[in-house]
Amino acid sequence: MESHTHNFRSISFGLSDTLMGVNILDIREIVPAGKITKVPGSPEFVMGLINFRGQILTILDIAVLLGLGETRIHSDTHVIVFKYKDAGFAVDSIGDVIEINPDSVESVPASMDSGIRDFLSGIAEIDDGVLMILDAEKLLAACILDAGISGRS
Amino acid sequence: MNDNGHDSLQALAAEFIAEIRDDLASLEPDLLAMEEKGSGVDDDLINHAFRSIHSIKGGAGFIDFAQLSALSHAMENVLMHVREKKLVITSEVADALLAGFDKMKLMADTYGTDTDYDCKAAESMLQKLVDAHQDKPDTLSEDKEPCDSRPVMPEEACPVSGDKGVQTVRPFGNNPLFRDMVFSVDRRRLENAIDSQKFIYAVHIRFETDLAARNKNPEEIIEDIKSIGEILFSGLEDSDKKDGFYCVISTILDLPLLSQVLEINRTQMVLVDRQFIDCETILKGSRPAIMPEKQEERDQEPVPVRDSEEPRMESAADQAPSPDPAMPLNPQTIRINVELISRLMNRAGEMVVARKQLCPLIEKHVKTNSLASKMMQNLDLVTMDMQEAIMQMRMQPIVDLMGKYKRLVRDIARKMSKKVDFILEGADVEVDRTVLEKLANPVTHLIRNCIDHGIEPPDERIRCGKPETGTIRVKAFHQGGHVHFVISDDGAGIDPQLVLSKAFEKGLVPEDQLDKLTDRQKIDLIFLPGFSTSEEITDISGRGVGMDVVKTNIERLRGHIRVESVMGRGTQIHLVIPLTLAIVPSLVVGVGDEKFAIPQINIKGIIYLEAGQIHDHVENMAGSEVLRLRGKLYSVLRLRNVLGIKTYIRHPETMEKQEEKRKLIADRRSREPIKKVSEKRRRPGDRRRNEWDSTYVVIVKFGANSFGLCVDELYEMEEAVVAPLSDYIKHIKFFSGATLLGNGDVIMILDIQGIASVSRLKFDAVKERELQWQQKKQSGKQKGEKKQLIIFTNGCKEYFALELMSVARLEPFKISDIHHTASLRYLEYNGRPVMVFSMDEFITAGEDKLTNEEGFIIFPKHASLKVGIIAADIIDTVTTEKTFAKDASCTELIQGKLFIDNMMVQVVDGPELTAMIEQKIINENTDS
Repeated sequence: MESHTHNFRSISFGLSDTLMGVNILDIREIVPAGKITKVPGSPEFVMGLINFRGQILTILDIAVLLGLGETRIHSDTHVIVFKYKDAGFAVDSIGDVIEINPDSVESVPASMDSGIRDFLSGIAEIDDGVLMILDAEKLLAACILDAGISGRS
Repeated sequence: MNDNGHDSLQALAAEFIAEIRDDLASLEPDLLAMEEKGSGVDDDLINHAFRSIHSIKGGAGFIDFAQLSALSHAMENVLMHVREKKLVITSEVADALLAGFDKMKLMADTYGTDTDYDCKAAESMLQKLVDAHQDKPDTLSEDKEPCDSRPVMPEEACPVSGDKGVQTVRPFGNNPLFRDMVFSVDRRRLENAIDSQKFIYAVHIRFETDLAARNKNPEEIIEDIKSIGEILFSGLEDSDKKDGFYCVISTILDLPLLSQVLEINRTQMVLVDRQFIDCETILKGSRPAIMPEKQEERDQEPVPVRDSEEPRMESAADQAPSPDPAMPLNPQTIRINVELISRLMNRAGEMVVARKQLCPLIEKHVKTNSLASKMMQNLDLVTMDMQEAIMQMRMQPIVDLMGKYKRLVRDIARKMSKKVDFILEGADVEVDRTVLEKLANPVTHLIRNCIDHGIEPPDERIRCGKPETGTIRVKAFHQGGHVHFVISDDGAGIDPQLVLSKAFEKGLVPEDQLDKLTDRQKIDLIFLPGFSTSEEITDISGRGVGMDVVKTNIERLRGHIRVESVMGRGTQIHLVIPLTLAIVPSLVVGVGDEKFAIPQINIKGIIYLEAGQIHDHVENMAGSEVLRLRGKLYSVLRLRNVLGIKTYIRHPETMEKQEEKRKLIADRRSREPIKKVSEKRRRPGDRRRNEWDSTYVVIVKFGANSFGLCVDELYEMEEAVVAPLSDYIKHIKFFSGATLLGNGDVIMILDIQGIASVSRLKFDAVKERELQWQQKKQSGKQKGEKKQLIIFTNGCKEYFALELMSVARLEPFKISDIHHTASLRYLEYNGRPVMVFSMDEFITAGEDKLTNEEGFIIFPKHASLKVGIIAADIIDTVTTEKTFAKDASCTELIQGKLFIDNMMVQVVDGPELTAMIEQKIINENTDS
């Protein structure tokens, strides 16, 4: 598990009633979801494609990946666009940018469901409660791997 | 700080490597040309190659790439010997040079990766060439002779002829260092140098700054100079009292390079003598007329006249186009990162979308502000022009790819002991770089095949009365938005019979097909997977993975491939490739609430099947549906089912919304004619015209296969800018990419071939069924069923008949109502234009003579457009059981001939006629 040594900032977001965060250095932009074009035959964790200022981005449904069920699109759905890999993911709500002290980050408890555990870099205690910090790189790597596997089958 | 220094050094090294690559790229064709010319090689070519190698050496030295530097030095040595005519370029020499070249290329390509290059073999091979010839006593051992730093060279070289052998030269220009300087040089050497188009420089070498400061002694600099050229004059001996000495040297290096090599400032060297300018102009061919006169003057050469010549010399200089050798050869181009171009391309696409979104907003203001429409137009023009320009930036001349084949052909031909010339026509034809990249593989394969299977060994060629050396010709040209490549050889050609027996041997052709195939179909068998004619597997070809891969690759580029071959004469392969992959004209279709794009190149036709027609046209075959259309059968897929898209329909009576579950288009809930009910219930604005049965069938094709794809809606044609699929979805076989619509929506582009393979369409079975069906139809006709015929005439006593069932309507018309436009004729019918044709436009028949004032139009059934056939008169309708006798004169269109009441009636095939009419209309449209 990657360990943080300096203070870092994380954007918090809500995903099926869970408060999560991702390092802002991993993301490029946050945009309202807009129209998502479904891709028939795609893996479950691919929500569809959006037009991100003329660039076509693949929108992932990370809730599916984390075993939290499908994300439903509503008026407040936003897309967090990753800095790399032409991809983003849909979230239910956008929270704040939170400064996180690495000392407050704890490793993920072993009791947690492994579906989630594999994609977290740690858990931080913040004012409103607990923030699960996602590891963007692992997430994307897993998606590409899974896509390859489902493509072969 | 340190980091920065390191970075900039690396950037610099990258620059040098890029330059070295460029030099290498220009070196290879030179080497090949040198081999071709053999002993007749001209100095210009050698010098050009020499310069390339030398600047590689310089670049390698600069970035401390010792191995590359050493190798290029060895190459340089060999070329030097070639230039001095001590070494004749044979195939062996060329082999050594090309081997060296390959090593150099490898080094340049892998620079910075810590690769260990073993170039000893290449170097020693090169060295051997040099050594072998140095040992020969009979060579003019000139390299030992020229001025071992002795200045008295002129006398030494030509001691007897005295004055005649000496020529005075003066530096060109008005550099103060060389003002009023005159040097006496050996005339023979000078002329040699001029003849071989070397540059001649006067150089001033300073003891202090140029030698002492660099830890050199004068002897060393002389050695340096000799390594790159010849010393014509050296003032070293008389230089005791001065701070430096003058030299006159001839070399093929240009000024900046020379300055770099000798480590002497550029201001200390100038070009020498007016004759150089003559050479320059001759080279450029701009003033050939002046040449003889000048030559004469030079030959007479009275030394004192020189001064009086001064003004003329300067005017010559003025007229010389660009006397500065430091000018780069082609200042019109710069190197650009490909990524940057694709980014620009994306942004331009975005701008086009933004403009489209802006349009409706501005249109509102057009009435109130007259400027608005002008601004909009301006924006239109600018964005369009910009997009076009960026598209052009991605274009690359095909010589970038095809140029490499000269080498490939040479190497393979040598390996197989064949003699082959490679000719490239249309080297400057430009293609999108992604297309070019993807062409490399298939074209390489085709060219290999040409040499391996096509061109015969030399002795066999002579026996056949062909020139010993075979020719492979690649011709590229633009036509109709496509690039055409014609790869032809004058080899043995493809033997259709051999192909057939090979294919049969490998079980690729069923036995009953053997005698049915035409020659062309037999040749096309080479495209079957697993086909190979080579008896043995060589490393060049014969692995049986050949032509089918070529074909798939070409089709993946949305191109076509066609093979023509004449036994004993050669083979011609014709490739048609779209100009760019980035933009695909596509038809947008709708299924349920979703839209998809079908590339236009895959579309063969579209039909609209109304509810009532479906059962007439669609039949079931082993669980899947096939569509009967104009004598052909097509498998039919519902795009909805293929992609698993849920569509909803309203129940015609209860208006309940329910998921559509029917798998087949011919399925019905009940046999009752629900159509009527649903029409009654249809409300205005209902998107689905008919909830139950009507559908569009897009007939799509890829390669030789075609099938029908049912969709709910047709939208507009779009110029789709294709975006590749991301890693997460690229494995999905249904799609080849995604694109943005004008309104900013993202839609997927269908991959027709992928859909066919996922759906496991059985094209062979359908074709077989089609054949059976046609045979049945044929035999039915022969059995002599009762048929109703309409007999009509064109007024030339030629009679035609159409089966009543293929005629929709007959209408009289007035001859004066025919309107002509270009080659087409129209009639007004029910207020709409109807295109009319006469029979002679389809078969050989007399032109219609409309003797009466009235004629008739026959509207054939099945025609999707308003078209009709002109008949001068309708004779009769008859019912006959007679069989139609088809004879050799009958074309596809004529089913047979029949005698009725002393008339010879040609029976026209209704569906075929419709097809021909449509083809004609399409041709007219594309021609105009």
